[in-house]
Amino acid sequence: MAHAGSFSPLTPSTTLEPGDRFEVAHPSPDGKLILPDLFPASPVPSQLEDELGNSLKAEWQPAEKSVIVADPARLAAGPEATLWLEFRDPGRFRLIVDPPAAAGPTEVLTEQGVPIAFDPEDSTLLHGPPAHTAALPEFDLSLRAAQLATHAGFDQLICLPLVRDMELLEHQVRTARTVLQRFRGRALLCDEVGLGKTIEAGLAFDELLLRGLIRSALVLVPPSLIEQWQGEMRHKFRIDLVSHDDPQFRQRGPDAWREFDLVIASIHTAKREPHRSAILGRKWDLVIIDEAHHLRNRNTVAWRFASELQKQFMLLLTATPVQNNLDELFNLVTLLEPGLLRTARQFQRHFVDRRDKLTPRNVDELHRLLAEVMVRNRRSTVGLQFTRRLARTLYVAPTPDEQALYTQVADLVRRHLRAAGKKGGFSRMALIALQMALGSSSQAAAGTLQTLSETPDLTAEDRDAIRELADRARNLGASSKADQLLKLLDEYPDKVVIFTQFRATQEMLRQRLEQAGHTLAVFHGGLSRLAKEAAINQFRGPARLLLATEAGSEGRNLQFAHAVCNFDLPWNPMRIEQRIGRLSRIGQTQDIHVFNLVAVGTVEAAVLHLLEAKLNLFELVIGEIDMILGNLDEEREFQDVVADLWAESADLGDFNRHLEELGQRLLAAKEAYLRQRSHDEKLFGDLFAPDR
Amino acid sequence: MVEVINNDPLHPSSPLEEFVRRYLETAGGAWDEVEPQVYDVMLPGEAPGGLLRITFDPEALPEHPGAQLASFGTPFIDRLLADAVERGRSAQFYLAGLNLAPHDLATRVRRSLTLAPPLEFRLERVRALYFPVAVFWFHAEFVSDQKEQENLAVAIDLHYGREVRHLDQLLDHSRLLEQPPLWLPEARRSSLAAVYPPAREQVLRSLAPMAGVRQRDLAERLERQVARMRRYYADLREELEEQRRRTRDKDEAAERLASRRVAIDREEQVRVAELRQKSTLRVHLRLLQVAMIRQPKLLVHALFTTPDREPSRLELVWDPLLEVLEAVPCPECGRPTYAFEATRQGRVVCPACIARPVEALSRRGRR
Repeated sequence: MAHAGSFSPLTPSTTLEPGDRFEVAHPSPDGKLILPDLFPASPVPSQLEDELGNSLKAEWQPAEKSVIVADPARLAAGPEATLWLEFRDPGRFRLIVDPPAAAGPTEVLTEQGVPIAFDPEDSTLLHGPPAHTAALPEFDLSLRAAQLATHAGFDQLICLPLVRDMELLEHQVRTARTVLQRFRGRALLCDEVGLGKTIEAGLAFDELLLRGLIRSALVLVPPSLIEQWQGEMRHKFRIDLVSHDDPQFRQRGPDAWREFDLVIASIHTAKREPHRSAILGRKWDLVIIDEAHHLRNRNTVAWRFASELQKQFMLLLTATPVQNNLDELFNLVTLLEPGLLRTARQFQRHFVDRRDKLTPRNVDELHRLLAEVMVRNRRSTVGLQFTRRLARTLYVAPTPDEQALYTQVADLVRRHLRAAGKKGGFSRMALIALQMALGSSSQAAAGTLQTLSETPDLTAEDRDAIRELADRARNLGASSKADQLLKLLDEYPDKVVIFTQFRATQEMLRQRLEQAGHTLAVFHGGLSRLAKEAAINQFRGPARLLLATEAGSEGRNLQFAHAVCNFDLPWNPMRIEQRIGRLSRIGQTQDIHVFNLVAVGTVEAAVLHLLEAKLNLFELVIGEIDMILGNLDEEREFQDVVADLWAESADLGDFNRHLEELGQRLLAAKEAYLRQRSHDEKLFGDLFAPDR
Repeated sequence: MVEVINNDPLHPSSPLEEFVRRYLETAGGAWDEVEPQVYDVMLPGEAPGGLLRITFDPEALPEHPGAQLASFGTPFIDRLLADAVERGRSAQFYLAGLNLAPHDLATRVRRSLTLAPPLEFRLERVRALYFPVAVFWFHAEFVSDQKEQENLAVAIDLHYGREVRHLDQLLDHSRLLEQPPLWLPEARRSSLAAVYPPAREQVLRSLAPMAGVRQRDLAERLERQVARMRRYYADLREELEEQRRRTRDKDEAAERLASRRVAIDREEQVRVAELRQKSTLRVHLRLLQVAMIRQPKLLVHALFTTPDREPSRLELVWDPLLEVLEAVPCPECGRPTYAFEATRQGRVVCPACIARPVEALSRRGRR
């Protein structure tokens, strides 16, 4: 290195000049000063002075880029002082100690009086060259980690880039943001059916989890929606909810409620002991209650249970917060914000018309208060219309052999259903499963019959009879429904999702369809995670048909297909709706074709007739069927109602008569729902849209 | 360990998955992708064989029962994030690839200056030096009944002690090196500790309005909620009073209702106090990271002359990254300027100093 240059004035000099300085770290106890990277390698310095120019005894160690000061105590200046080596002339340096600045305040107040506290640890990064300096990749990683670990306000939802397999709609994101930002995580989500309340709740849930604002959550839903919720949360939001029915949960006994943090349960189970006490005995950061209209009455066990939950955030989801009177609205809001609508008596006096309990008074004030907890999107305002569903039911005449088998097995089921629970009898669940399997295919029935024949304590006569039926079912080669399906696939040229409830039926169909030259993908709950994805991708790609059982398909969107075929029909219309909902949902651009294959003279044919005739099942929007069934005033699940009627009936004609009565109740429930919907329109209108 | 590149468009890596892989590669761990979103990982510092199976997809858990779910908020991810931040809290880099011999520097410097006649400028000599800039990243946390966080960066030129705003260019990775690309002395500078207070001050200027907005929202909400709460409990007391009036056995009722009234009053106090506590905003500010970027610049020794006066010397700084002359501190007032005039005594000062009364100027000049 040169120290005196003869450059032209405009050629930059790179030499050291007197007064140039290098910051050095404080000496170690033995007086060793580490020289910085930029300290010149040559010429080797020989002299060290203090600030006054007095010589300091020092040993320069150029190879180690250090200098050892003989009397380090002379440099004692406190750890916050800054040490500099200042170049004087070649070989001579001066050690300068800059005293530390006076310690600043540990906290300041803004003009509005907000205290801002400083971290006392900051100083560790400021004094002297750092002990560890990060390499560039480390530094980059550190910046990235700081960014990932930092959660700004809810203006930007950090969960959005992480949600999977769905196209979020603007109103859903705005709703989640409104719930978190304006409502501080306590809200009544009252979107019209089909607009994605579950997605909105999932976004808020995910956001709170990601920000570390919640650790525990309890999701309460009707029993029929547990799997659907689990699937959607797991698949779309990576949230693993354990159900109180899952083996891992059950085997922990009552302790499970304390041990698991993310739990989903039916409210019917949760409100009953021993679960009730365990759930109320702990704090939940977030409680979500779907179909919250079940909590409209504050005199019910369910409402009292919900009001006693210890929760920080709470989301109540319902499309119809009001049914019979405005008190119901009061009850829901009071679960979220006690006192917002004053006491029950004051609410009635101030907000309810004395002559008509559904008519509000002081509407503007009521709306203003409701706007603090309630958000409601409407299809008309979010500009969302679902495509049509074009349903076609193909009634298939069974072959004489199929008919004979059906009649004999149905008689057996009905006879044993009446005796169900008695010693030596079959379980009710097994018998219903057999009846459903029979409606699906003889192959499905064969397996169930075989299992039943192995039930202990059967008489030899019964066992032989059931085995004989199992053999006949197994050997029944023909399937008139499968034949009809093949014809249908010739007529309808596009992709089709074929649903069945039974693996045996699925296998039979796989063989028949492949023999007929169809390309298909098979999807069922027994597949591994990757095999499931592969099946969906295959169907998205070259396969024309997806042969699926419902199990495991929850939360998966198949909007790229436009036709569903119900090869067999669940007795529960919610299940039928969920099947169609895989395709007929937000993001679907074309009309949906729904093909139902039903054998004439079966339970399924009668149930389907009922649902079509009384409810126009296939014309309802997703979610509406649940609203209607909710108005049935029936504790049992719909399929249990059907099973009971089947058991009570002497024959199919008798069963049809019973169904007719059920149909009248369904009709009344549907009318109640429509009245309710129209009343909600009048009461809420467009006033509760989420923030822009 | 073999890296499997995930090219499957149906399984794009999540930001978290990308982070975990980068962390392990950078910090000295290892990873092996068993199947999409399922990994065997070895954390830095773990003994070989200390493998941990993780998955980013809860749907994979049933098939990998021993796997830990890696998602935000889990102890595993929290630990990795904290360690990654800690590893990079302090850094220093050198900016490379800058032109230290710019064409016609004298003319470009002259063009950057506004000199009032008869003031003239001459370039005496030029030195190439490292001029350090300290970039501070602060982490602010707003805590009330909610928690919001912000990271704010501020860069301070250690030579002039003033803020610089071209952070993107300073942190351009294509130019950053861990070791000096060429040996240069360092320009006279302040220590990090000396510029930390102005850096923090700068951050507080951004932070105070942010806190103000939140405080206003909280105060408005609190006022509304307390009023509502008061009314609710007033309703309850009124209903209680109504009950008392209706009760036949006044004595028995009086005692019962009085204790109920006490309970209502107590509950009101507790809930209002809770509301107030929840609505108190506090901000905590922490220095998260500091990077010292040493950028080569040209220190231009310039001579300013006027007829019949002794010339004045000023040091100017040419920034080859932005290709501009940096504003020069006025020798009189210290404010950055590009415009200079000569006083009657021949001193070179900014126009604002020229406009000031002579006594003030000379007093300042004497200091």
